[in-house]
Amino acid sequence: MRVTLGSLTLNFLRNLNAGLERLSRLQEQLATGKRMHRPSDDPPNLSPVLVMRDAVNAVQQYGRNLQDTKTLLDAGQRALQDAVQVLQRLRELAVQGANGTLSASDMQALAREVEALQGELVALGNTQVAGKYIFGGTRTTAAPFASDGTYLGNAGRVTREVDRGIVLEATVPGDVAFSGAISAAQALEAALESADHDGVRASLAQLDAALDGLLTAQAELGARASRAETVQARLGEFEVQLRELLSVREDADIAEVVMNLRLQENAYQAALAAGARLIQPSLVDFLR
Amino acid sequence: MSTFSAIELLRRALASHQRSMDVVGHNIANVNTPGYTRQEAVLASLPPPGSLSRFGAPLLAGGGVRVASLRQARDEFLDRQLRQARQSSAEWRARADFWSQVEAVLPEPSDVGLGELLARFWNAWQEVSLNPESLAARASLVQQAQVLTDAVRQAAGRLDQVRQHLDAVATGHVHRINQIAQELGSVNTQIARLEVSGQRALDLRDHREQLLAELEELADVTYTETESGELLVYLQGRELVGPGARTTAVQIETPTPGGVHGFRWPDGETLAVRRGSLAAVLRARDADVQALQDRLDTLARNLVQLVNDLHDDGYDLDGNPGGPFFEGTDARTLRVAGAVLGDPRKIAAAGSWAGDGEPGNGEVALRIAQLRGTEQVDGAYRSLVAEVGVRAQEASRQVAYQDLLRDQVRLRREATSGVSLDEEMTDMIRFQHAYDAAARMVRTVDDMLRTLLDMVGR
Repeated sequence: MRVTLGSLTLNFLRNLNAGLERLSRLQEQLATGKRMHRPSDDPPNLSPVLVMRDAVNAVQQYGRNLQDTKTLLDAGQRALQDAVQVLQRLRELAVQGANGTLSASDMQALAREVEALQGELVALGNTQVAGKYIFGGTRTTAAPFASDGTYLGNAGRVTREVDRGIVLEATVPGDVAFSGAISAAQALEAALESADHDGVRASLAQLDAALDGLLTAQAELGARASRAETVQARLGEFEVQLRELLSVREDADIAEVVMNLRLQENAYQAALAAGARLIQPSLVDFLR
Repeated sequence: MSTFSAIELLRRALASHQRSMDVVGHNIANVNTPGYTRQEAVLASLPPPGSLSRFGAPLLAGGGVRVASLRQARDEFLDRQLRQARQSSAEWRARADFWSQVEAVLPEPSDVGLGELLARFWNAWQEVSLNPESLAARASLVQQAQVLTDAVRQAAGRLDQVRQHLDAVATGHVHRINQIAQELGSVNTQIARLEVSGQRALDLRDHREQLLAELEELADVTYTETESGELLVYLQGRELVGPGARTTAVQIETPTPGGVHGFRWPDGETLAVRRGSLAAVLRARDADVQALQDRLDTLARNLVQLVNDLHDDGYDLDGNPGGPFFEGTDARTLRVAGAVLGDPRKIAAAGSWAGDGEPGNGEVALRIAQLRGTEQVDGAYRSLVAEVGVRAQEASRQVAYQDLLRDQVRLRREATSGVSLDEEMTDMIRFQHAYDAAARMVRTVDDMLRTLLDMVGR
């Protein structure tokens, strides 16, 4: 085949351009660490990558949801634990008050303490986490218990999604947990106030029932917390797997890219050198 | 042969080699001219001059040399192949250009693409479902929704810009077609005028070949050459270039604001091109962009409908029934509803509003957050991006392939028709030596004559 300067130049430019293009691709990969930068870089892989990216985003959100849920559950459990102690103290007082030898003024003194403890129960029922009342059902912006122990909240469920399709309740309504305890304390106080030994004895049963209610609620919260733990552990594992899968599809293999970059660099320089030698001389240079 | 006829013979030799040298010069001068076809002076020996000797027998020595003709090292078949290769290459390049512009509108996978913004939008609803009473969470949702709607509108706007760009390119192409038609007409006339005398208008034909190649890059023209050497060019059955420099111009209609130019033949028929870069540009302008915009519109409408349907059933932070969260009927008009934008309390996160209110109820927010991954929005977006990816990849692969084909044909054409400086240099020396020798011989003949004259003069 007849070779002219034109064909030499054409071939040279072609190869040089192809080399440069490959170099720039590799350089882009190296600079960003990613294999894919535009939809056309790997179309079959694109949809899975987008799905996984969204999944990572979602998993992180579920992680935050879980954290928030656990915070509420923990706070609820602590409040109920405190309430249990208050009830136990109330029970001791009731046992003392049931003792027929106590004078009316002794009973009065006990009544004062019961009153204080009742206030403590109301305060526990009005526990807030980051400004949010956790025992008011979905009425979270106002105190669910009035000072006289009236429940102002509702029975609404405070729910959040902690994994795709898994919805947990983060609180128990205050009427289920506290109302029994508060009314038992009120009954006890009234009985002590009026030195009614039988009344005090009757309130003992009420206190026991309220304690049962509290313990049940506490167990419920505990069960949810452990469920949240399980989900959290699974999510953590899932996120790691997801990131690995995503990385395999999306990230550049740096070692490979560096190797290829070296190769392409050499090829490019060789092409330049060959071009410089080939294109320059012609017969003209030798006709002096 | 007389002494004087020797001088005449040598004169012709000098002239022929000078002419050959001119051709070498012409070739060297055009070594970088695109489409130039190497020329060659065809030398032919002359028969002995017609006169017979006095003795009636022809003299055997020849009459020297002449330039019989100028020849182009042209291969019509290769030229045609090259034009076709250039057409495919130009067509795919136009397509690849378009799809890479579309790719720039949908940069994926990335942290700034619509995919990421959708994810953040759904997350923001999750946050509201956690703390529906929190104004901060609501404000951040409104902001995230705004970022999303801005991005959707921006994508639609960018597609519009792509369409405008395509329109400008198409208009330029049509102008160029009209212009080339005129140039072809005038070159036709010149060629016919020159070739009437029997010689070939070599450089004009090169020029015409270039024009035709450029025209074929733009559109699928057909052509025939008449006896007189005129090239008649047809496009869509119309005579783009007719005999006698008659041309038909494609009419360019001014568009309505925001619209695109219309292209018509004088007979009212719309210009329809099947191959070449104009075909690719028109197809992208009139079909592909529209299809992409339709898909983006559908996505926007689905988003509005799905979110609003749920939002309608909710209650805002003041217990009022929820209104629309989004407004708009397509991608260009998608917005966060004014009421929500003005007051994040209007986000209807609660699923019910019993008694004294349920500010902590985030059921509706959760239900909306659970729209995540829906085929109608997330899925639609993913399949849109995936298709753009496939089309862009195909186009850029085709460009690489078609360019390769084109360059191969180009190399083959170059091998036949290209100028090789080494060859020209060799020819130059060859002709120079022949010229030198002929000149020297003139002197020798001159010396011979002088010898003769000296004898006479003595």
